[in-house]
Amino acid sequence: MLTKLLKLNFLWVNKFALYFGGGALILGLASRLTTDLTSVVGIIIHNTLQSLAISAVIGLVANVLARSFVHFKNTLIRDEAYLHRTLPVEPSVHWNTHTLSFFFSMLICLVAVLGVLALLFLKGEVWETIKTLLESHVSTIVFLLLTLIFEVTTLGLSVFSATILGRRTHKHRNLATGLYAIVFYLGAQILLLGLAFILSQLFPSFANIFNATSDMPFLDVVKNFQNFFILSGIFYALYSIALYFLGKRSLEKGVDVE
Amino acid sequence: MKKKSNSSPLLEVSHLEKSFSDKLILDDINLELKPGKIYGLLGKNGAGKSTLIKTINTLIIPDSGKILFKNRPLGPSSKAEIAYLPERTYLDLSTTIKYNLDLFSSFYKNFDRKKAVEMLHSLDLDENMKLKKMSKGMQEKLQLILVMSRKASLYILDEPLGGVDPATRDFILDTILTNFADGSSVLISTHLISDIERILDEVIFLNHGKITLTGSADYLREKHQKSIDQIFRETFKC
Repeated sequence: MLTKLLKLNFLWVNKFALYFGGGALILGLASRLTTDLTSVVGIIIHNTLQSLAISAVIGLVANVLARSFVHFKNTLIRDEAYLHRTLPVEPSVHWNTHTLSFFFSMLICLVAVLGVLALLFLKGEVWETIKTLLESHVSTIVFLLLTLIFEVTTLGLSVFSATILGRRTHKHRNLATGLYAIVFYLGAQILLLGLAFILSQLFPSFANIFNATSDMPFLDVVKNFQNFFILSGIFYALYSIALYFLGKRSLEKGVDVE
Repeated sequence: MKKKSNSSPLLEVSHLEKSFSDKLILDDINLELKPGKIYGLLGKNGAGKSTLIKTINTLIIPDSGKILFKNRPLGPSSKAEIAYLPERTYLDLSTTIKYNLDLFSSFYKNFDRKKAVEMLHSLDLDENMKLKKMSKGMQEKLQLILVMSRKASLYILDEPLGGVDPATRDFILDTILTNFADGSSVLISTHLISDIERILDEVIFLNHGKITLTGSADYLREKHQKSIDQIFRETFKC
């Protein structure tokens, strides 16, 4: 049942992802191919293609985010809930479906974003810097990617959990939903910064993140942020897990449809 | 109207209460539905009929009370056996009829796709048609066909006759009567008693969230020497 629901959910959420993602990659490739044009018209074409590729990739992420949140509310609270919530499955299956669908959709978005950015900017000096980073700071890059993945997962689960908890309140349900979402998401950022601050007081090497300046060489900045990326990757992963169980438990307790 | 019946209840509702914003919508509801009968859940608008039905379908969480289906708490097994038609369009309008047939086929083991397709063809509906291209009436008929094509133990139909023309009413009533599975029960909520009276075995009157009268339709007609519609009008006179 989970697989069937996941397939339906994933296809609905990503209905337009192929257009945005494919468009962004084609535009990125076209921009790359026009890099060496030196005429005024050539430069205008290159810059226009670059802007369009960036717009398409932003559109991709925004569209997938919006469709994930809309589908979550439609199928668990609004009209379509009358169908979905009367299917013979446990509430936890609905929760897992939306969580997994969001996670995989965002992973695909991340790959698309990185692909487009690589097409647009991975050349010359940037490529040399990346090569050096890959040789000397692989773990930093891994934790940076984990931070990105779980930070977005935190965003998704903040909205999902807030939708359920807000709906479970007796009055001002929409206001409560908004407040829960802000508290969950901003709470994560404040907690992480607080943790980083406490750790920087305890461990001098950790304090480097607060000492990085714009005139420092890029690789030194990355080195200063190494510990922070490890902390943030682990923090967002744990925070996402906590939100996952909070939302799942709330949905299992029950929530009224509109 | 009666089909196969036995005495153990299909659905038991006991001491059910629900309030919204301090207003009591369901007030100590006690109810028992037996197999093989057609029940009419009758009451004015706002009496609590839809809330009761949504609670039975776990779409609304009661403040207190208990609901058992075949002596077991509500859950996936009861959902597999209850076919529910809400009072609104609950299908994704961006999808096609085929998509919804596939959805019902894959989630409900008791869904008879062949029967559904036959009924759709009788309405000249093409499986590849998108729901948003269909009229509201046709969307409602499609929902009814999907629900009645399941071999369920209990069919719960919330206001199936609301806002439809007399010809559609006949189609809806015929579809219900000719398609509900042998030995199963039907719970129909409505305030349009005269249209439905002829098919009811049992009636449940709901007023201000309370059950005010229950009993066999024949017995009530005989006792009061009036039609159920007349009894309803007298009971709920403004």
